[in-house]
Amino acid sequence: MTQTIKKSRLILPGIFILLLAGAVVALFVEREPTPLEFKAQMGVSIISPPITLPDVSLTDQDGKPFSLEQIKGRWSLFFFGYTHCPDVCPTTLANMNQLAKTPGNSEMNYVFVTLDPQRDTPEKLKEHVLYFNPDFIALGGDQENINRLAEAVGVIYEIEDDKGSDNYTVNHYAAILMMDPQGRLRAHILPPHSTSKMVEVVQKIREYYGE
Amino acid sequence: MPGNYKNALIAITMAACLNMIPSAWAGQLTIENPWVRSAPPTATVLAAYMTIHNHSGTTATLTSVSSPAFESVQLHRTTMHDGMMHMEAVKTLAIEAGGTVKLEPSSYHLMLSKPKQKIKSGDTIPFTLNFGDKSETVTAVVRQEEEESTPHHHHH
Repeated sequence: MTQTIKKSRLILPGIFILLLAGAVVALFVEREPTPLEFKAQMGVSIISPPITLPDVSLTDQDGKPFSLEQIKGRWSLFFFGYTHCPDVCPTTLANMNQLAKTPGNSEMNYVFVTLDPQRDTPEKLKEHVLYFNPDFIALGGDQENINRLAEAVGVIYEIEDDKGSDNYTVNHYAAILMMDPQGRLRAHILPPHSTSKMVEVVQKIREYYGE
Repeated sequence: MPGNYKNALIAITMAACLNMIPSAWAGQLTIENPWVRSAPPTATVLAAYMTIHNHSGTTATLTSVSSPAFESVQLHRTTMHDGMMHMEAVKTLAIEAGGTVKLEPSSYHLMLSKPKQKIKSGDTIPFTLNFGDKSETVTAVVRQEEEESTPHHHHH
């Protein structure tokens, strides 16, 4: 009698611990689907498994602290550049605005991150980025935090010419980065970013990886 | 005497002008769809784009561009190497006989620095394109978006 009680006392917690361990394992080894494939000419690299964004302190266009937690819950498109950029950055911002005007794509986050916080103050970013679309988010902050984020997501850049001259160029990676609603990097979309290509790529990724 | 001198000067000037006519491009270069990407009113750099056709039998070389609306206009090219977009100044741009060169986003463009007045969508901006000692003048429209291909691009 006492023996059976002892046994059942051990079995029940044992099962409970096993179930718990199983649940914990399942939680961490979330099954990553086979990477979505695109034709080479589309210039899309799917990041599989996705990369969790680092916890960096950035500043938004109103000078308020911005945490990347704030982008969660929706898909996001990020572009890294600088406002003294005459060709590529305005072209990309205009392309992102075109995409934002297409059905179903207005509810994504459109985020511009400056690689040049020395010249791009929140005021400058607000005026420049929100000129293209008032719903866009423009992020800056200190170079260290920006560098940590850029490095984590694979955005390389270099400052050319004399940084003291106020007339320097920033050469940079020009892909649009797509983050899932869990705030993880899911894809690099290389230029050109025509509206037809962007609509197709974004739709495929959203459908495949879900909301 | 001063009158004669003046007349002679006019005659010489006129002769010089007449002389220039045969060597001028006279429609041998056409510039299509010149436009400037609109930017925030405080932007210090903008870009202009256009398509240049050379209908002549010889190479036309674009050597410089100027505009009264900007302190400087430079011919630039955006290139991608090592995965990065670079901007490089281009000294001259050759358009071969019968050829076409497109200045377009993420490629060749005119980098317009330090606008002399605020520039907004719908403004028109004159540019002088110098091909050695000859020049062409165009008026670019300021707008945000690239225009969809014009109808005569669809012929095929």
